[in-house]
Amino acid sequence: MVVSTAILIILYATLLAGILTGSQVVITRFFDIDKLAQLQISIGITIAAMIFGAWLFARLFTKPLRIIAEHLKDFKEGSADINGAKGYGANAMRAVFKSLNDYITKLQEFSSQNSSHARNLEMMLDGLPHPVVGVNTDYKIIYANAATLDLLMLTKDEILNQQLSETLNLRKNEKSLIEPWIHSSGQSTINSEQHWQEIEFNSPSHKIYNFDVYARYKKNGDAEQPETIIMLHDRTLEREGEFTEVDFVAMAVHELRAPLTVIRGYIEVVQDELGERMSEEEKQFMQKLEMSGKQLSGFVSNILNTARADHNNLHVKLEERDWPTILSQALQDLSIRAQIHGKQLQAEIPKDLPTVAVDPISIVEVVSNLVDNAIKYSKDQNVIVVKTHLNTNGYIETTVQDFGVGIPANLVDKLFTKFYRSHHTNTQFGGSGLGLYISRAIVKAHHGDVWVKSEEGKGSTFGFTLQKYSDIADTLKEDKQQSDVTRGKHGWIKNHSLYRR
Amino acid sequence: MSKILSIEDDHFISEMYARALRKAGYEVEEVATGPDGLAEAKTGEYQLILLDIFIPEKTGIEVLHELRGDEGDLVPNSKIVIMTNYAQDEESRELIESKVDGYFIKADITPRTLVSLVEQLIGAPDANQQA
Repeated sequence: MVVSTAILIILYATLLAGILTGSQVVITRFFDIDKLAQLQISIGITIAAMIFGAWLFARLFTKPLRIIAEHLKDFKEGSADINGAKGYGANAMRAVFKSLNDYITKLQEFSSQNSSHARNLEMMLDGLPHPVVGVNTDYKIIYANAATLDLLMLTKDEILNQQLSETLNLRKNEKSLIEPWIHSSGQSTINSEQHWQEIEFNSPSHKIYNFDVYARYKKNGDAEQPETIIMLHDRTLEREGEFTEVDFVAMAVHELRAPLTVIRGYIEVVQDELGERMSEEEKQFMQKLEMSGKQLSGFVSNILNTARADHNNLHVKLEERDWPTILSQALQDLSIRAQIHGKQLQAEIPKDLPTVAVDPISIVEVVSNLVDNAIKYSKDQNVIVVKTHLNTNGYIETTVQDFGVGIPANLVDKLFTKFYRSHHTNTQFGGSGLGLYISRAIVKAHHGDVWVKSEEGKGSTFGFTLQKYSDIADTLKEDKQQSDVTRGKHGWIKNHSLYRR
Repeated sequence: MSKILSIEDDHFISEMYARALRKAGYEVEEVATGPDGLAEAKTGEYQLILLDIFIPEKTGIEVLHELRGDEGDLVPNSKIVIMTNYAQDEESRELIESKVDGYFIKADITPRTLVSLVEQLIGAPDANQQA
């Protein structure tokens, strides 16, 4: 809004100055009574024409500018999402790009006619704080505003008619962003819009920017006219803050893990070296210490993953693995944990399942979170059942069922939200309320789904699905050459498994 | 030769790991800073280098880049395993992974797991060094 108001003020001030100087000249040159009436008429006509001109100008050009200015506010607040999370955001972006498109198209027309409107339009676009670029059907830059020239440290002559990929090469995961999108848009549609987030750009001044990139494609095939408009929204400062938050959590987790390493390590040393000399009761104490250490270690990892999930920074590395093997190994550890709490884990794991695409480290966290929950909410019931099978939709489905307190139907939807704690009080059941939140984020990152069925007083079944490796093998191979690294729960070493019992 | 170099500045952790590895029959040299680690590693005497990331004066990543960086592999006869409690972001993790033989989060493993990992990487200790 500020931008459009400022430009309007400048425009009207210019028009007014034009009227005043114009009148003064006319008055000095034609200062006699007969001509005075004529003069009045001519001033009247001039003023009327100018008012009409200004109105027309405002109608044609400042309205789109106002739309842009209004929606820039949305970009700043991060609510405009062209990819359709919100209908309003998508519409806003369409309006903005339509306006930008109109502007740049008109600018091209006026420039060729050497019109003064061209200068005014140029001034308006140069007033935008966002770099805006117009690209023709040959991927050549045919328009760039002042913010773009500043960013790229180029003059207008240097940038015009340059290939987009050589001048403003926006990339994500090493792949060019815009050209492939224009290409595929051109194949299939007439109009298309796109929004990319968190695009890093290393500027010629060696500053690394973090942009949101908005693009609008409208097929026209004319080399003189823009076919694609690209606008960059600088989010560097905001995101520097976000990164610090994740980094801060990573650092806090690092500090928590150091004493934890020593505690867990020496618990094992004491068990190994004093083993037979300890009384049965002492052995149980040590087992409880060991399990609590493991649980704490899992919780600390959950904190970090939550911070990452909050900032869309949760990455999984999918690889082909045998699900029954991973699940059985995970359940061996968890059985001991269950036993300490007086519960018994019953597993039904068929051997002949197709391989899955998983990140073995994080998927074990999911199983562990679900079993921990089942232990917690089993109450007096002793049995927890873990099953896995190939479901009718072709996914590997794994369920964890308890026969405990259950969840009322109206609370089921809240279960997967952060810090949601059961309807039972804290004194009854411990926990952070992060387990299900993080489990869902991890399963989603595996392209799977999490669900729950529950009945109050009868128990709950939590389930999640994983994709068969064969269903996404091609995509994974395209993404990355699979290395010979085999990951386990605790880390990885080349050509081996960290699991050896 | 079954010599292991441990580059770790947390004395408790270093002592605990060294104790477990020595008990299993390996010879262990402990250093606590980047430059000391680099100097020791360059002697080429070690079959395995356990490298922490947050260490004084030079980080583990810098040490790694000097040992296996632009100048080629200065320790072709040594295996390098990163041991850290700092979870890397995906990008740095990939960069590290391409240069090392293993990677683990210290809080997730115990001395027994460490010994098993070392055995898989460089084999059981030489008979004459058995305690």
